Amino acid sequence: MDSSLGGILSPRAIRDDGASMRLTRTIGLAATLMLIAVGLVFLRAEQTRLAKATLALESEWVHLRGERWALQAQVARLRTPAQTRGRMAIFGVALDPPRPASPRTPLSRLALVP
Amino acid sequence: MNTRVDVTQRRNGTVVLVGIALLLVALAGRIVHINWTLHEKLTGIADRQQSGSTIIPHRRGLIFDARGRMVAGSRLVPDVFVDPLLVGDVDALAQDLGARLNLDPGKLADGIRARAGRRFHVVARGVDEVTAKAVREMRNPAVGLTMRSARTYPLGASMAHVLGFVGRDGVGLEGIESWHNEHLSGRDGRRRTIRDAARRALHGVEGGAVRPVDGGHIVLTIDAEIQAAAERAVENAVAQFEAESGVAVVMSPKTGEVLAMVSWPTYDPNRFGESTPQQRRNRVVTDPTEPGSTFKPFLASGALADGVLSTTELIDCGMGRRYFGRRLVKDVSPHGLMDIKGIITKSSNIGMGIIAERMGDAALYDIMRRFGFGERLGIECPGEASGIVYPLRRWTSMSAASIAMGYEVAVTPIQLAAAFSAIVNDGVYVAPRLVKRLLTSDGTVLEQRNSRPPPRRVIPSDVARYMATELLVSVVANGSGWRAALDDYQVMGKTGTAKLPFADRKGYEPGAYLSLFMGAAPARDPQVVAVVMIRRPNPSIGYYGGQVSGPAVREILRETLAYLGVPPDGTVAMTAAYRSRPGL
Repeated sequence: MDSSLGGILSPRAIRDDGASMRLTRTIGLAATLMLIAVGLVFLRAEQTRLAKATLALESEWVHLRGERWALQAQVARLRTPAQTRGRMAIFGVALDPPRPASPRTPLSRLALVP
Repeated sequence: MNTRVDVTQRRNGTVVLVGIALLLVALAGRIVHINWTLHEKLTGIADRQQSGSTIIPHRRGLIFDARGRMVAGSRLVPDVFVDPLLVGDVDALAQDLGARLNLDPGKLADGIRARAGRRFHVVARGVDEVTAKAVREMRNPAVGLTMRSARTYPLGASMAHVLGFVGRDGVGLEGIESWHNEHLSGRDGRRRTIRDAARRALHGVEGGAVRPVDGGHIVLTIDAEIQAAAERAVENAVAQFEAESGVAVVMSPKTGEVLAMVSWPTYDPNRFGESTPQQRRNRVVTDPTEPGSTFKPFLASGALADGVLSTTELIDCGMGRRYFGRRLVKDVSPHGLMDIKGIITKSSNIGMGIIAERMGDAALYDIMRRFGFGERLGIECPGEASGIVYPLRRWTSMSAASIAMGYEVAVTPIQLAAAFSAIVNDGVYVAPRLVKRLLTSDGTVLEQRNSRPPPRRVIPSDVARYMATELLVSVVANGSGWRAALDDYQVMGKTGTAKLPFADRKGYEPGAYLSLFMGAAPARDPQVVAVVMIRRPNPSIGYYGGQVSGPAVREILRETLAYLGVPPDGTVAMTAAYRSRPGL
């Protein structure tokens, strides 16, 4: 395995390009490595942020599901016969539903029904 | 000198180098030890510390009534838990938490100490929102809330015996909840997360999420409004006659759909822990009783169907006392000569005894079985009893006369309602059922339920029509069932009053009765059948079936027919026609 990082730091290259070249390449290499490191950190942070957001959304979904169930139960409670009777009593509405038409109703009236 | 110094320095350098080398070897060895030998143990500890699992609760399937009202649902409730590993001062925590949860701090501390090695110890289940908020405000990493799906029954005590309830572990324990537990059950989801030191979830683990699977839904044949009407009627009858208990069944005779099923006393399935087994028993399916005179129409229809009796034949019922073998049978009053209509209308025990004798044991047994007595109907309620119809080899010389009066045989209220439905449904028996359809969790129809077994004819159509429109109508119009009559609908029915046997020995308890009434309306085209049984009414107030249960049946029929929008069938005209018949 080449320990000179692809020949950049090989003795021949350093000897050929001189000290300034060596410094430039070193800085370049360091900058590249730093950029890669920052990029990795950024990606990792972004991944964590998104994962946390996903988790929060999931949690919100569970919460909303629970809310929906609670509301459904509340609607069901409001629709119970006892509640209906109670409200009818409060508003003074007759409890008996309208009486259906008798079969002895004249045919002329029944004929109006399609 | 220099040479000696060099040698010393070299030796010292060698020693240091060897020391360093040994140290490095030791460190390498330790690394190998950690990575190979302690790897699993250490990663396990790290995993327990960093990762956690969040449960995503599933929803148990909903139960709806026939008109789509939700009668059993689910809601999320918080449970409070403690992570014993993160607890520093157990007593201080127990003191603080106990005050917020209204729990004994001593017991709380003992519980936490007993589970010292665990990460999850539930200390309070299903707390309310205020308590949950108080727990959140502790901001203690060792204390948390986890959401759990819990059952809720919006109707409260209404329909309790049909629905049943669900135990703490989410398994149905009674009623439809138990019978259809597999269909209603789902599976909790799970999300694995990485947590910080305060146990706050930071992010999920890749591939560590399992979605919850919700349970399927059920649509019942029961209608909450009809159920409520039947419950009011039974409750009023029980209260008025100071009775021990009461049951009611309301059915559609054409479809076999059970519209209401009442068992009183009842309980609230939201707080089933406070109820007694007596309250929780669904007497409609679990309690067979001797049906008394309500059994007579079934035997009479069998006699007419077999041709051993004609509708015009007169039978001598004598002076109100007659021996059948060694058994003395009495009528309330002497009736003399009567046809079958008179026998049913006056509920003559002697007349029915003579008819039963004439039919013979085999024919009696056969007609009982044809009407579904002595076998489980397969109604979707746990603990259904088959009733009692003894095999012929166990019959004695007095059995036929006893059975003719509704003794030596035991039927459940649901069996009685189904058999009565067969008579009013033109002789076709339709097995009763409680479930209309099964749905998937997204509402797609999974299974449309029909009557099982398929409808079957038990008596000829003309016999059924005669029984319904002549005999059973006359019981209400002119006989003991007059209290069940309605203004706008022609009601038919049959009363019954049965003595109650001792629980621990042979014989019948004096003054203990079961008051029965089975009715249907409108007579022209029966849409509703109602059976009411009131157990142990106070005899000083009343105990006859027509007196105790008749008004309850009338109320049920009146409210149900109006609710269903069934047109009146002209009671006055039919009664007048009936009364104008010759021979009455």
